Amino acid sequence: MYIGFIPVLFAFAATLASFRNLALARVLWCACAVLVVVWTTWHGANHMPHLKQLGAW
Amino acid sequence: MSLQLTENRLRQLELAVIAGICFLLLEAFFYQLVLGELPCAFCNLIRVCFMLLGSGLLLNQVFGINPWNYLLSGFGALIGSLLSLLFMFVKVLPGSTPIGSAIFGLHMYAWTFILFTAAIMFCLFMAVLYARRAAGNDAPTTRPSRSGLAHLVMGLFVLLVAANLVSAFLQNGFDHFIGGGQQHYRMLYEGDVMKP
Repeated sequence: MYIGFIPVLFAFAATLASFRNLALARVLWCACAVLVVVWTTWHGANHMPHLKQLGAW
Repeated sequence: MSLQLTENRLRQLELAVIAGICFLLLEAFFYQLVLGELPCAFCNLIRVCFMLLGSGLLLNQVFGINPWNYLLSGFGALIGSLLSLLFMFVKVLPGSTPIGSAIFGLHMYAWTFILFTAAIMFCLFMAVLYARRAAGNDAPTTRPSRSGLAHLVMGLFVLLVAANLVSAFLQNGFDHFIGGGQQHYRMLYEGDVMKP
């Protein structure tokens, strides 16, 4: 599900839209930002054992 | 503070920042293609955050300055800053192996944390400068005129985003991003694509 290139694909689509349609470009960039957050959370979850060693949070 | 810039000057300043983002993405490709350091999952996502930082500035170049575009860029910089901080936390543990080369003693994720944090401040500063802009010769057009240099920088930005898309696909195919230490492009390495 978390295919690696999908956020980059959104970034590319948003870049192309940035020269044509302001509203569409903003929507695509925002979607790209959300995807980066989701992808980071998913991948960051793999590092929870490391983060737990850092002491009190 | 009496610093006042015209809208045209603000756009020139933003163009310089887009050029800086292009330089960073080019540098990332130098480490990837020349030194053979393939980007990890966080590295790939940090690259997208640089594109997000450039997004609002690009929209300002194309459609004219709008404060909402600074918010978009600032949001991208915030995500990049937090992502870099997470990366630093993961790698700060004693015994953990760093990913990528160190530049002037700091690894790339430490540098990106500094850069993204500075970029947040830049977006705030630009929004203030825009609010206090001086009346210049800028006509309130929706499509501001652009120089050849602006076309060149924006074209380079588009090219680098496309190159990152190709790179991410060749590196991981239809699979998720892989952690650090990847040695080859999965889509170019025969048989590896089919491995679990």
